[in-house]
Amino acid sequence: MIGNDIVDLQLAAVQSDWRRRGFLDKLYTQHEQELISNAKHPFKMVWRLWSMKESAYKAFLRNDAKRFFNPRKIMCTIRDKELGIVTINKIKYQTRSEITGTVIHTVALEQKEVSCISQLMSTKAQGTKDLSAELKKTLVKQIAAIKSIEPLDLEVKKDTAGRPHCFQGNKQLNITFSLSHHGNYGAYVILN
Amino acid sequence: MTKEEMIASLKKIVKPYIQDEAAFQNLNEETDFINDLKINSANLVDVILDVEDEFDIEIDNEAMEKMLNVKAAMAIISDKLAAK
Repeated sequence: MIGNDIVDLQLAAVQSDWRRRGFLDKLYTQHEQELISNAKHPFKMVWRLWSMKESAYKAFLRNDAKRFFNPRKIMCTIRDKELGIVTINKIKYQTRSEITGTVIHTVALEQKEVSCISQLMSTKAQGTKDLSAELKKTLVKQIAAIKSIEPLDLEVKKDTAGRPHCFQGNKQLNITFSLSHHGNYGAYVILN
Repeated sequence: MTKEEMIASLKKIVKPYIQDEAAFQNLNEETDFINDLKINSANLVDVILDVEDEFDIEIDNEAMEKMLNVKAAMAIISDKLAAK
């Protein structure tokens, strides 16, 4: 199973105040709060950990799990600047985070050996106003190439639990992927 | 507090975070915070903190876990208010 999450850091700084009273306690375990206060850049650590939780949660939901909102139940540990592990209900996800000055992209995978295709896009690079549509278009082209079918026949739709699937007409394709979009950045990952 | 008053209060609280105007205008018990109002999940924490401040209650993690839509939020608020 796979999940990904993108954080546009400039937008995150505007949308949320991580220093707000009660904010950290609702989202982060004691260990994670220590990681944040000990970090060179606490702001980035806040959002790295958040994207680790979100991406692992999305992977978790793909297993037909029920939605819940209890971020402290999604527990993170950090290996190094990029790698980490997230545990949800005893299931472990390996995470890899790509962190720059403006964006964080985290991918969560259930098994270490499994690989994936990953694509990051930005409004700046794409020169587009509708990044979400552009992201889906590129994803669909990629899936079409993998499956050797016509991209125009394909459509990405989310189910009632918010999980994305790819349809060829009424037929749901057997391909597992995740997409995320926030502010000026978007990304998709496809399980190989 | 009546149901209508509570919904009006909730509407005021979620307003800064919503990203779907139509769903917001049609806000009802079945409205889902993330799927319908498109509130980004990091802001759902802010909604919960705002609800705690507005109603002067404490929402523990167990209660927060199911707070995904308006109906659930109202049930939790009523519950916590009654326990005061």
